[in-house]
Amino acid sequence: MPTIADLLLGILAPALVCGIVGVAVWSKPSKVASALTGLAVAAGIGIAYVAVSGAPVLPGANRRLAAIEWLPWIVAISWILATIADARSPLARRYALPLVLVSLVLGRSFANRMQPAIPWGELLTIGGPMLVAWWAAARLAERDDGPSLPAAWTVSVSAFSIAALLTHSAKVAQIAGGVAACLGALAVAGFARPSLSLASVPAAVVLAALASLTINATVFSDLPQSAALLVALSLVAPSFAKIGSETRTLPRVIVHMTFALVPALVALYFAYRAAPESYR
Amino acid sequence: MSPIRIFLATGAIAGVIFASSFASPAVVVRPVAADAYKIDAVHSSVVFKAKHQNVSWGFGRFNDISGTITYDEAKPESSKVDLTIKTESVDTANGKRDGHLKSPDFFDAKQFPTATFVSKSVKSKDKKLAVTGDLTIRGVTKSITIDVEVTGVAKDGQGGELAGFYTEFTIQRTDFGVNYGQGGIGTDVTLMIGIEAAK
Repeated sequence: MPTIADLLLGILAPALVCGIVGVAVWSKPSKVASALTGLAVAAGIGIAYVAVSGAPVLPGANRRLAAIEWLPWIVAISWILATIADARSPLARRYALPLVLVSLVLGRSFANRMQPAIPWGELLTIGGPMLVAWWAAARLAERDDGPSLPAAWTVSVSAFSIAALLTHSAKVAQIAGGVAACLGALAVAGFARPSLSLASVPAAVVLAALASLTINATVFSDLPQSAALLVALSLVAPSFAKIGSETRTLPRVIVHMTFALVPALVALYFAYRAAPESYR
Repeated sequence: MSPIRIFLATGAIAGVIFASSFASPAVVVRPVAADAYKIDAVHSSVVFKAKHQNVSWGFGRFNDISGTITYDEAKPESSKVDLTIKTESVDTANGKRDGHLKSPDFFDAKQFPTATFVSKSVKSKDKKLAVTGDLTIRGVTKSITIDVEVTGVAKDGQGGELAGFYTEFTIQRTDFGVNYGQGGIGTDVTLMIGIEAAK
């Protein structure tokens, strides 16, 4: 059972950091706001990671990092690269950045599996859909301002967290819970600041963290790939909701959350079916 | 920046990031002396125990072990041990529990398929050997010193030679990143290793 300290550090602290920054940067130019909001998300994920696993570890002569231990470094590098790409050009942001970040996630996550032979089949099977989902989700983030997308992604990531918990990935589930807390706080901040956007830097940080967590849950634990694909679909499902920009905020939020919820629930069902039985 | 330059820069960065994964080899090949004993897995055992709910001992074993031992009765300080345990072979007589032990909550066998012990130095201590070496579990390497009893050396009747060794020692599983379930499963894990090796 999680303790009060786990809940405070793993959920509340990330939510506070993201919520406060999400509201505070309302007057900043969009690229600065994007960088600062992304930094808040990265910090929130970092706090959630520390709550679960302790301080991040550097690889060394006596230490090979597990895939999950690369997560804080992946998040930090994603924030740096996304901020640079956002400042450079739309081409860099839309096409170069996802390619580089997917390579980063795959390379670090599979670092312990590169010998005796590189698992090219597995890398392409995972990397291809990951890249497609990333592009689609990032494009959605560019088009959607306000609380609706953070609220929808809170649903998707929360479902992923529960699915991971069902399939022997307690650590992944707890960290994903921190990511969901960040998104939930940004959704609340979006009501106060309708111009809040996940575009570019915040989306890149969230997607990098989710990609790393998904590989940990599916490749190194028991989450079925079908559930992972449905969570990816849940992230982009709000793009299928054809509602005009004149729609009021609350109905927009409800519609987007509903569209995200349907594939998320199916993902949970698959995870439940695959969950190993208790032996206790 | 032109699209072509962005494309080339992207490819270069992605390639460097990806290729850095190959920089730290997961498998280290260690040289084996020609007169080393080879561990006989059929007649060797690696058994462990840990407390459950602070009430009873739970036992398990690893069924797939391999390695080599260099041992000279006349010069025990020149001995060497190289033991490899396949973490996928963990066996606690309960398939569901074994599946949990192989998961990232415990041994993370898909990422770390082996646990190893490689000796660095050996000293004679009373009638035993004090073996100092690197124990690696779940990617974490710690230097430990264990007391090893030489249980026997004999000819096997077919022109070869057998040597037997036994050791028992306790580690803190949290030192090796195995942190799950500390409330219900003790952090002290005792290993009991009986080896028969042949050359």
